[in-house]
Amino acid sequence: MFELLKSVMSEVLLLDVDAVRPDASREDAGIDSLAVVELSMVLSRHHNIEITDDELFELRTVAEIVALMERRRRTAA
Amino acid sequence: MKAGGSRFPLRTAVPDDGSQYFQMRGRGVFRQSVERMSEAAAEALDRAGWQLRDVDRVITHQANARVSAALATRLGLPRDAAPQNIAEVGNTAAASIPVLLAQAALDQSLKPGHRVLLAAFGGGLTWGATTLTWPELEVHAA
Repeated sequence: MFELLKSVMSEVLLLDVDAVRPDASREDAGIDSLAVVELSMVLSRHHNIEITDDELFELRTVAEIVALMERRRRTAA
Repeated sequence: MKAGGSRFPLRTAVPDDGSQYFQMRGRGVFRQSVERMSEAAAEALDRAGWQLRDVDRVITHQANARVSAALATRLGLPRDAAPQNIAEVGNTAAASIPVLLAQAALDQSLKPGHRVLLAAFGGGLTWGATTLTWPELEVHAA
């Protein structure tokens, strides 16, 4: 799931994936207030993972985002 | 922005409690702008009888560079199909699409015969999209 997040961030959001580490804060990873909306839309549309931008915005680290992605994909499966 | 509008005309000094500033739900507007413009774009393409692969350029209202890029992504078009000028000229409001068309024609990233999708989103909220085929035009720098 971490690799999926990295690929979305680099290919869709055009962010620098070198900054994407599990312990990185959401903002240090470049996922700002608009990127959470893009991420929410892309995860829903292309990966069947439903997470609202409000939920993403509340998460503090990349690891927390990955954990929620894993939970939501399991729920959707 | 509450104060200073028609419902709360300023008869005294400008308040200093924050109500004198514009407020926007940025994330909600961002999502709505991308989703509504892509829906309008799909309808405009349908009415024109075009497929997405027929589109050479997407010209969007230049309010936010991220919206234009996200719209291109959402439509599945390469980002270089969506030229931008907001970094140079800012948001020129109702003039933004014509200004961008003129600049793109001048630098020849927009050529006669190109099939162009136009999409805009703004206050209200309002949005729309249409299509055109760029004509043979003599374009002069301002």
